[in-house]
Amino acid sequence: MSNATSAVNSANLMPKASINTFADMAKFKISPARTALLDYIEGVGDSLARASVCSTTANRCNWAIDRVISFLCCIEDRLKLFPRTTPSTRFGDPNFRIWSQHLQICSKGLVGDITPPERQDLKLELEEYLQNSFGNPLRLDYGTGHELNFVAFLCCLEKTGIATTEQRSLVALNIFARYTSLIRIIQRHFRLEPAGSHGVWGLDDYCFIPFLWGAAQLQHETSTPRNILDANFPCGGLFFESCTHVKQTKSGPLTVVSPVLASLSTVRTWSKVFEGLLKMYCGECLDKFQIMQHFHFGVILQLE
Amino acid sequence: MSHELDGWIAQLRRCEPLDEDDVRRLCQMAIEIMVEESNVQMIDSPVTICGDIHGQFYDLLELFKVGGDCPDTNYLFMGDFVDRGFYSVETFLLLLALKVRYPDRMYLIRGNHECRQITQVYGFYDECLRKYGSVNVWRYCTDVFDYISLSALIDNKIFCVHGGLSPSITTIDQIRTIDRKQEVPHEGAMCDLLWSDPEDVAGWGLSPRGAGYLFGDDVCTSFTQTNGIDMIARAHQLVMEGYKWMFNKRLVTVWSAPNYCYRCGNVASILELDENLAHDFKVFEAAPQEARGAPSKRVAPDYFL
Repeated sequence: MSNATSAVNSANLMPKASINTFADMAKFKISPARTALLDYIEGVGDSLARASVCSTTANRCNWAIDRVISFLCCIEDRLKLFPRTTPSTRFGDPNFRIWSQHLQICSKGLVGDITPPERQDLKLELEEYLQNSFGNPLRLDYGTGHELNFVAFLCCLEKTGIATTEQRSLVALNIFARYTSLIRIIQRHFRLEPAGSHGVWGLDDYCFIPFLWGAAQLQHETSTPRNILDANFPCGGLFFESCTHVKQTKSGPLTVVSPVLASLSTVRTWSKVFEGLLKMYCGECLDKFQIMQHFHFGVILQLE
Repeated sequence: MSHELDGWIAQLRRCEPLDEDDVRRLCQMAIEIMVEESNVQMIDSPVTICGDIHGQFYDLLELFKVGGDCPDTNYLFMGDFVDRGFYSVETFLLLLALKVRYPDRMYLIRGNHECRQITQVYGFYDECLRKYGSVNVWRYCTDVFDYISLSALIDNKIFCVHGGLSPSITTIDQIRTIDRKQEVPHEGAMCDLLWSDPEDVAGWGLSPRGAGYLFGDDVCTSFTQTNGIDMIARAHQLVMEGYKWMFNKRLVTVWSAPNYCYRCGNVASILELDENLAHDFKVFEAAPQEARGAPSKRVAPDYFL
């Protein structure tokens, strides 16, 4: 293949941000990408509902899953290169931009290692989602749009056969849970601003999925949504871990600092919480132009 | 009318929102006053300058405790009254009621959050919908936003604006010619005044915010010289110590939302200027927990019906 052809081919494979106007959202709503993402999010929820709440290693991981975990450890390790600074004018630490370059290199390494030799054409798309999963280096912020990119990356692992549907709860508990705690460390380390957060009127300043998948995990547990208002949470899963995080990072009663989260205590069962959160995720994230205008579509997750 | 206004002010000071119809009438009164105001409000010292509040109502009460009540103290609030915090409705309406009751003692200028598009993303829209069950109050308030002045000039010496400068603006007179009664545009002078930030750059730089510009010491110096002013006071950026001087004290950032978003751990400040324009920063912390009310009503959003 000549250099010219290869340049044209990789340009074609380059994932693109294709939602440019509010009208484009109509296209997205019936797109294969939306169906794939939503099926995946719901599917992981179903498999978590079947897994035990405290299990993290129910099944043996495969090599690729281990490799993703070692990638997360590796990029966490790179934080040590950037001692925390005292804030000046802008709240975010510009060192996040240099760390993001390390992230880029590590992402290419990971994707190169786990992509099957016969599917090298998918590398650009996997890299795109992974690199966008940790916040915006220019704006020094992080939000649910970045979280969606990580979910897209996980979804693509399945679509490309790198992970299987049987491994869904494993992926959620081993990879996604680690990603969630890492991204919280990164937010604190570089003082990233919440991107497009609805302030106290969002579920959380930065994330959504840990509450959604967390509610799925609790469906067969003895705790009820009323426990959200407890001073000490019952042990268990992504949901209460995320509540604990909100309580630790914010000062004031939950009814003020996160009234939506507090209001979930009035919902009768965890499965109702899960169903509601899934609808809310569509309404507030997946079907929001402000978020999807930044999302890139490729050959695995297609807009048309 | 002042009797009714005093009733509203007392109610809002207790952090009780007004009825929808009272909000409509208050907003109408505010528009009638604001429509007459220039894009550059001329203010005489003494006056106390305040930065972003972002719906942190109990911290606004703390601010009044530290700075003195209106009308005993004259105030200029440099925008960003709403979004992010729990009490944007109560915060904005209290400031607005004080503005209508004491138009020459309470001055408000517009921040980048006083805008339909931004409030739909950062919380004020959601808050109105949750607290009133409809978006009428959001409509009344955002209609007022279009009339809020863009800047102020204190004793012809201190220029006050929410964000910063604009490459399309050389003289303060040019600001007076802007047609401000509209949604904040995505670009141009009006947008820049509300969005720009000072930074250690030469000349103008691209803003990571995606609106407005970064402007350097040279730009600030030439603006102050051209317009014969001493300094620029602005808000718009969280500063952990509550205020921050830049550019040889030709520019100051004032930030008035302590423990921003209930999590940033910063202190806040207000800048008091006496009749000789001598500065005194009053630094304050978030109101103590016991001074804060807690809402009793808890209704899950419609997604959970």
